[in-house]
Amino acid sequence: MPKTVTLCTRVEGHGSLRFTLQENEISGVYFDIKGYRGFENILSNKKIIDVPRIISRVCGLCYASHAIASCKGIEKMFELEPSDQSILLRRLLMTGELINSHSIHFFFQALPDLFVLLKGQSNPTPLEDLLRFDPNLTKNIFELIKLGKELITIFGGRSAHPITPVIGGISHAPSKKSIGIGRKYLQQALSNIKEVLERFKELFAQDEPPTELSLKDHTFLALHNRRKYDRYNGVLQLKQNKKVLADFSVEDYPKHLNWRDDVPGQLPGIYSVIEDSRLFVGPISRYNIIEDYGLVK
Amino acid sequence: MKNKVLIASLISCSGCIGTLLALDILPEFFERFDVVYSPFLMDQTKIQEVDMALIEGCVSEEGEIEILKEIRKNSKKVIALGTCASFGGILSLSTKKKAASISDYIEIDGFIPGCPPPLKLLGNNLIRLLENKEISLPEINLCANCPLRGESELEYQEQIIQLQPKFKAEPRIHCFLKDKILCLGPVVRDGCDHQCIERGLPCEGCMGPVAQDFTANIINFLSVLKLSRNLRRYNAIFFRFAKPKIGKG
Repeated sequence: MPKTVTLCTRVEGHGSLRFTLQENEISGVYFDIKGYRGFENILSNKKIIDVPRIISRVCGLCYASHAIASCKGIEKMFELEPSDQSILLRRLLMTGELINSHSIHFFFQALPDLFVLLKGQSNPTPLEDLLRFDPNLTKNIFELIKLGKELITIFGGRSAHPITPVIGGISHAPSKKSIGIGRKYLQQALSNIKEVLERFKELFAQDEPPTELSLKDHTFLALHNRRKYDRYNGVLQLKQNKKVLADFSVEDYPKHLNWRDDVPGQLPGIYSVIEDSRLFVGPISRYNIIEDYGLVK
Repeated sequence: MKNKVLIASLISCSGCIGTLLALDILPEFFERFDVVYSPFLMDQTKIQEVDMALIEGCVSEEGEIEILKEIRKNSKKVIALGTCASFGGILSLSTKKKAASISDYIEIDGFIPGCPPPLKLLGNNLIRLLENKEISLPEINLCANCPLRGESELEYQEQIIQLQPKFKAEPRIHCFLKDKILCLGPVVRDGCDHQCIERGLPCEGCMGPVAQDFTANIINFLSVLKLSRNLRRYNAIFFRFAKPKIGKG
């Protein structure tokens, strides 16, 4: 009978990490996700105008991305081109979402583990100690979370599950005054981010990257726009061991990735897989694929 | 001694916790409450005795009922946070999954509706809870303070034929219902500052009813309207945030 160790719950989407041990050797690592909701069933027989505002409810942290991705998909089907203004407003909404969700993730979910990985702490920092660890860092993070929400409200119309992304564009453009306020919020956020980064460098710059993160033989998948960082437009890249396997447009997704709905030990749903390989998405993939962040050195 | 609080998610998107983390009063919240259980924020998996439990998400499977009962047993006060916990929420649109409110299974001491709960409403009520007061929600419908209401009383004479208006650059001045567009404002609770309506979108009902059952209110309301045949057949109007209760449970 294998022993089960539940390790980490601090992940988005009610995930948790579970290990099984057999004679003190790890015999399995499982990423459990509770609560399969099946949005594919929820969406069937719904009108397409309702899709963005239903699909945003997939995630309470990256609702704007889900809503906008659904708009883009439907726009592609009907060959609709949103105006440049709409695209800029969508990008601003996604920026607000990025500031909000990544500040939450960095502070509450990643930072406690960095003390374990890089500083030899035996357990992730408990919440109470984390909040007290560096009052200025906590203050900056709380401000960033709030500023992100304010930007989401200005450009998305609500504090979460935005209503402005609609098929064909944006349903409501903020007033000039609101855009001015948004600009101030973005400048404020930039100054907060700089302080957070400075502190991060102070804390971790001397440390070697944890060996746990040097992943071998993994296939990375991320969006890039002529090798530049972009979250709205571009092509997808598959990369393995520093070798580019393919660059392809979103429409060609099924040519490069297989869809399976019967992954053993996983919840029902639709999975993108590459046979005989582990497919990585998210920040680690982005980091391995994007060459140009548009930063001035 | 700080009051102990537990923040649990059932079947949800975590958006209510996300909203909580963006409140002006968050530093005060952490100052005054000791968060002892929150899988989102910490690696604590054991439910322990607390002064207050905030629960987001709906009940969809047996496992959630067990967690709920465990939380109820250990909490002096249980508050449903957001529309899923209060009424069932977005999963109500699923044809295959159950979506029940937590009050279908345990006694609750209050609820803060909204998908997500409006920042001001949530912040004000958390302050009330900090001061050991009861939750206070507006006891009026969305039309009472609607910026589009105009002078005259509403009369639903027109046939309702649309779910969404054509989006125009100039701001809307007429009531959606008068323009033949479905808006659930008359049977939905105020408290959201008309964010959707002010941005040209009719109310979808995420705040829930002012009183009584969610879908009973909506069905009652729709029976008064002259709904086009197309819309009458479209169940996403009826079940967006709560499933109808047929019989018991």
